[in-house]
Amino acid sequence: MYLNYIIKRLFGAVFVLFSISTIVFFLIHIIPGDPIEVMLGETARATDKEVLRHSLGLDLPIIQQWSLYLRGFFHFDLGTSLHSKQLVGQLLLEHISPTLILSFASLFVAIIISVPLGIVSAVYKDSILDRLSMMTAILGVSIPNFVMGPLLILIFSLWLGWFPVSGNEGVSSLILPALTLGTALAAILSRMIRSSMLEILQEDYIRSAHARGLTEFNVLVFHALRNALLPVVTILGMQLGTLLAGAVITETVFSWPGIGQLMIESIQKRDYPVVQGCVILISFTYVLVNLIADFICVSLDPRIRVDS
Amino acid sequence: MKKRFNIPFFVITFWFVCGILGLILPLQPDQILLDKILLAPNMEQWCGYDHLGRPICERLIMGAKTSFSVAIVVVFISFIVGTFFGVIGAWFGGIYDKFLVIMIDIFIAFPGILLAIVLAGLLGPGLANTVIALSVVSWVGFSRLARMQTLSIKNRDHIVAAQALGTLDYLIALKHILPLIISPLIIEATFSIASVIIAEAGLSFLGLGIQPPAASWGSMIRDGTQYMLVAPHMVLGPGFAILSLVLCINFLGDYMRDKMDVRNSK
Repeated sequence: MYLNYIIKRLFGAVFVLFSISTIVFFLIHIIPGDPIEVMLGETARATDKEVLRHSLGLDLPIIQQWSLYLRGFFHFDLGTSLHSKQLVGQLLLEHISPTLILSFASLFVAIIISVPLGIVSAVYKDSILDRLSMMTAILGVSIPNFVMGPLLILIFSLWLGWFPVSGNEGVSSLILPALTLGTALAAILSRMIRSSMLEILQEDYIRSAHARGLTEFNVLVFHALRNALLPVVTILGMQLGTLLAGAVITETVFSWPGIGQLMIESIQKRDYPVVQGCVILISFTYVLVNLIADFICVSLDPRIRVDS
Repeated sequence: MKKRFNIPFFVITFWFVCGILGLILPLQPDQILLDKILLAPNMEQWCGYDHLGRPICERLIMGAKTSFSVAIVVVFISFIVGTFFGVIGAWFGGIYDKFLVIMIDIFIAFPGILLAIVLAGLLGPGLANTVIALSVVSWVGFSRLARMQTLSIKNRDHIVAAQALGTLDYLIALKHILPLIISPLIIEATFSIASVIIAEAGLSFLGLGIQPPAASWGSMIRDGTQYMLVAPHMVLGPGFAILSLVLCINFLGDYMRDKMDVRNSK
C-alpha cells in the first residue's frame, strides 16, 4: 500500500517534470524575440546572423531542436550559454550554493520567528498578544520582498550602518536578505502553527499530560508542538515555491549572486539555454521537496489515509 | 469586528479613487522639473520629487491606476476562464476532467510567480504582456476551486431535478451551479487581486513589467533603490502605498471569509 503510493507519486513527479521542461522549451522558442539579434545587434549583417544561427543550431526545425534538447537532458547536458559559452550545468552549479545558503538561512529565520509566535498566540488565544501577533503575521504576508528589502537596507545599512548594502561577503551580508525572505515565510508559518496548535490543544492527551503534572513547557513543546508541526511540514513544502520565487526578487535587491539573479540576467540577454536551465532546476527542486514533504508526512503520521 | 472592517475599506477606496483620478485628472506625472531633482517632501509637494524631478505624488496616483487596471483585468480574465474550465471539467467529467486535472497539476507543481517572470521576461515588458503573463498564471486557482466546488454540489437534488426536466447544460451551469459556488470564488478573487498587485509591482521592480515612463509602484521602488541614501522618500512613498493597499485587501478578504462563513477546504 505504502510502497504503491511512493511509486505512484514518483511516476507522477517524473511526468510533471517532463511536462514542465517541455512546456518551458516550447514557450521559450515560440515567444517572439530573437537571441541572435540581441547578441549581434539589430544592425548586424544578415550573413553573419545566419552563420551564428547555424553554429548554435537555432536554424533547425523546432521539433528537432527539442529532441536534441531532450537527448542532452538525459545525459545531464543542458547545453551551453549563448553568451559566456560556459556549460549551463556549470553555471547553475556556480550559482546554486548562494541560493541554497540564502534559502536555508531564511528558513531558519522563519522557524525562529514563527514557532514562538504561533505557540504564544494559540495558548493565549484571543488575548491582546494573540491579536498582535496575528496582525504582525498579516503584515508579514502583505509586505512584498521588494519593499521589505529596501526598507531593511535603508534602516540597517544606510542609517545604522550595521550590515553591508549588498553582495556576498560572509555572514553579515547574509542577514538582511535572509530576514527579507524569512519574514514572509514566518508570517504564513505562524498562522499555520497557531491553527494547528489550537486543534491539538483540544486533544485528550494534552489534558492527560497536564493531569500527570508535567510542566507547561514540556506539554506544549513535546506533546502539542510535535504533533502540531505535521501539517506545517506539508505547508512548508508548498511554501518552498514561494521562497524560491521570492529569492529571485530578493537576490536582485541585494545583488546576491544566486540562481535568481542568473535567471533575471539571462532573461534580459535572451540566453535561452540558461533560462531553461534555471527554470528546470527550480521546478525540479520544488517538485522534489514537495515529494519529500509528502513522504515525511505519511511516514510520520500513520493516520493519514492514502487514497489509491 | 465592524471597526476592523472600516479602516481597510477606507484605504482601499482611497487608492481606488486615486486610480480613477489618475484616469480623469490632467496630471503630468512625466513632467521633468530639473531644479527639483530629488527634492525631499515639503508642504507644497507632500511626497517630494524623484531622480528626474518628477512629482512623486502624481506618479503614485498614476501607479494606483496601473495597479488597479492590471489587477482588475487579470482577475476578471482568470475568474471567467478559470471558472469556465473548472465547471466544465467537473460537470462533464471524463476526458475533459482528466485533461483539466493534468493541467492544474502541472501549473501547481510550478511556482506561479516564477512562470510569470519567465513569461513576462520573454514576451518583453509592457502593459499587455504583463497582463498576459499574470493571467496565464492565475486562472489555475479559480479553476481548481470551481472544479472542487462543482464536484461537491453536482449531485444535489435540485440539479438532478433540473437534469431530469431536460434543462440545457449551460443553463444548469449558469442558474443552478454558479450561484452556489460563487462566494468562495469571490473570496478567491479578493485575495487574487492582492497577489496580482504584488506580482505586477514585482515584475515592474525587476524591469520586466510596465515600461517607463509609465508609472508603476514597482518600478518607482526600483528607481528609488539607487538613491536611497540621499532620497529615501523615493522608496518610502511607493513602498507605503503598496503595503497599505495589499494589507487592507488581505484584511478585507479575511473579513469576507469570516462573514460568508465558508469552510476553508484543506
